[in-house]
Amino acid sequence: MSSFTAQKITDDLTAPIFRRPSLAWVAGFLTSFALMHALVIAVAAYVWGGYGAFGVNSTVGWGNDIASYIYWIGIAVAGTLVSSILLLFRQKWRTGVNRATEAMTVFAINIAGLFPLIHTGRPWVDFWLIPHPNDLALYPQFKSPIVWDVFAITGYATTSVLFFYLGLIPDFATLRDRVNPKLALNLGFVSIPIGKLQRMLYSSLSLGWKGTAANWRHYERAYSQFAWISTPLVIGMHSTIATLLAVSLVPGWHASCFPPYFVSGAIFGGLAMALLLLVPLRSAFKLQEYITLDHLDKLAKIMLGVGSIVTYIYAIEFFSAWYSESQFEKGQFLYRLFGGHAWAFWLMLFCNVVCLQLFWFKRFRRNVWTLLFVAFMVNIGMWLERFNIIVLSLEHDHLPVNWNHYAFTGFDYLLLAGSFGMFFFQFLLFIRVAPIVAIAEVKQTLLHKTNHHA
Amino acid sequence: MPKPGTIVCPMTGIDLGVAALGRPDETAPQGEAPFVAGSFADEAGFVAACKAARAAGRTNLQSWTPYAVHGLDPVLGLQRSLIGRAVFSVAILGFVLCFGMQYHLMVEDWPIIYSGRPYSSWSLWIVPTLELGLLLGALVNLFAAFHTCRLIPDPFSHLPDPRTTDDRFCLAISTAEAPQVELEAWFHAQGAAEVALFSAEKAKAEPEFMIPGQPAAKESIHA
Repeated sequence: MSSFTAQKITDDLTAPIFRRPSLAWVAGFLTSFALMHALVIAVAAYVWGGYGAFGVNSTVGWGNDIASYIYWIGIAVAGTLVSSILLLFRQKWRTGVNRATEAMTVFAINIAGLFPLIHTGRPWVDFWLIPHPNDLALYPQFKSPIVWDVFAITGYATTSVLFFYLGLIPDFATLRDRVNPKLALNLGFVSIPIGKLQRMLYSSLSLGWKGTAANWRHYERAYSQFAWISTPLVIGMHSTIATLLAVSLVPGWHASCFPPYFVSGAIFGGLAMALLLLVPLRSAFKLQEYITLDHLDKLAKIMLGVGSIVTYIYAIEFFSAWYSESQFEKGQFLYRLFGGHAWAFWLMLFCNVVCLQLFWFKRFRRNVWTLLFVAFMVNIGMWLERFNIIVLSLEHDHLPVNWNHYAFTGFDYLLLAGSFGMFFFQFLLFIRVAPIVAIAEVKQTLLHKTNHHA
Repeated sequence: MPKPGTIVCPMTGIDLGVAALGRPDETAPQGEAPFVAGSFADEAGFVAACKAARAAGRTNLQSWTPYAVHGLDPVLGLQRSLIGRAVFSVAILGFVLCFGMQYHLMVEDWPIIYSGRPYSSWSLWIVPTLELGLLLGALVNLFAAFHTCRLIPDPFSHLPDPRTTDDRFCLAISTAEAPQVELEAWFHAQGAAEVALFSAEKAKAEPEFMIPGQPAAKESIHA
């Protein structure tokens, strides 16, 4: 017989919102807020001085911004895997971790969306990304994967936000009905009616949710349909990004394995980020009963599975280059092994392949410190993977006269660091406003089973 | 012949579910007569009470639960949600519109040879077609859910017991079906933890009853 009751679940999962923020949260929030301004500085320098603020040159036109763009998109993909694909496979354990990963998706995708806007070079004319005719009545070229990318990102980002919000509505209603409206912060000269403000916030966000049988019937239908819609969208979206590279003739990009390579790599990196968020979160908010070691173990197993696919594709890329008899392909992959940025390739292999092997052992999958270590290393490895694909391929193309070296400028570092600051700023803010574990879904999973067994 | 008030897809003959959007609000108690609401502390007792109410021939029922109780829809006589058909139809419409748009722009409006591909490169249009169709489907999915659940920003929640979003399962039966006293006795016999008289009008007039820990309707609580 389970020790869970509905009251206990509500108390445990809403406690982090209604109690005072901890010192660790305040420190993390202020640090990420400050770090986010690195992004602002980098973008300001770029708008003021032009695209030359970053390290790109005439050979390597796609640098940090595109590598980071694909990295953040990948983070978002894993959230949809947990929220949608596991729902379609009726994996009930997902309810412990789906809210956190959905939040991760939404915050990662809005950061990812910034990078192509920056990458255009003139962000004030980014409205041309929206398909509409120019002065010559000419429309964008729909045969181009660049245009597909605009559709893919727009569709995926919008659907992710809608799905995320729909899932939150019943939990916002729970918060609405638990707010103490008399709660006030008395500063001496003024009293801030925190309770009333919270009530107003959650009443607005919950949209008058009642939780009647008819409500739940329509809600569950809409929720499962979002899963059906999101799954092809997310696979299509990341395959589109992969195709964008694969249809070009650049050695290192022109490979038919790119779509599955990118999708599995995205899930791999995204799950690593999910572990990086969930492990500290469950300890800080005392959620060990809801985000259990079993959950982390399962996420680690999925990581091991998709990570093995990624490892296989790393090998296939080299095999294809050798088997193709193309001197350009061979040259590209030799350059990755021994060229100017070879450290990035070998470090990627260490992070993504060597460290991952720890997950073959159960005791490492169920140890929070090993999970954190591997997740951290895989995050580094996955960013480096995108760096290798984008930068190293462009550095060493068909013509030796084009070969050039790419180096980060200070603003590149600020841009990258600022994107992490923005991500953690949003995530830390979110966990103080909404329950980080889906209350209604967890109740259904735990109590429905309990009642039937009883 | 389709039923009056329904719109049927001309291609598939499937009811688009538009009529469902205009159905009476199923999420609030119907009619002028007040309801007697019984709160149950656990799902099993609540489901048993729902079954007993239906077995006793009660049809004007309403229920509030903290989570979706599977298997409750047939007990309460609820039909399957028709949101799926609306979303499917709009997604198909989106596919057709997006594909048609690309054909018109790339073949008829201003044909351009791009990478040696033919003007009508239908296989290259699949991605925008898929993405736009699914995006439209997602938008319709959300707004259809909002509409069918009557979700609009509302400062007050009209619940018989605010704990129904926490740990209480509430069943309400209209007093049009039986006298109030009889229904209250019936709820007690079913093991309800609390029984109260409830009406939507009352909830709107007295928002303060929503404060956690306060009884839903003060004058007729029988603990």
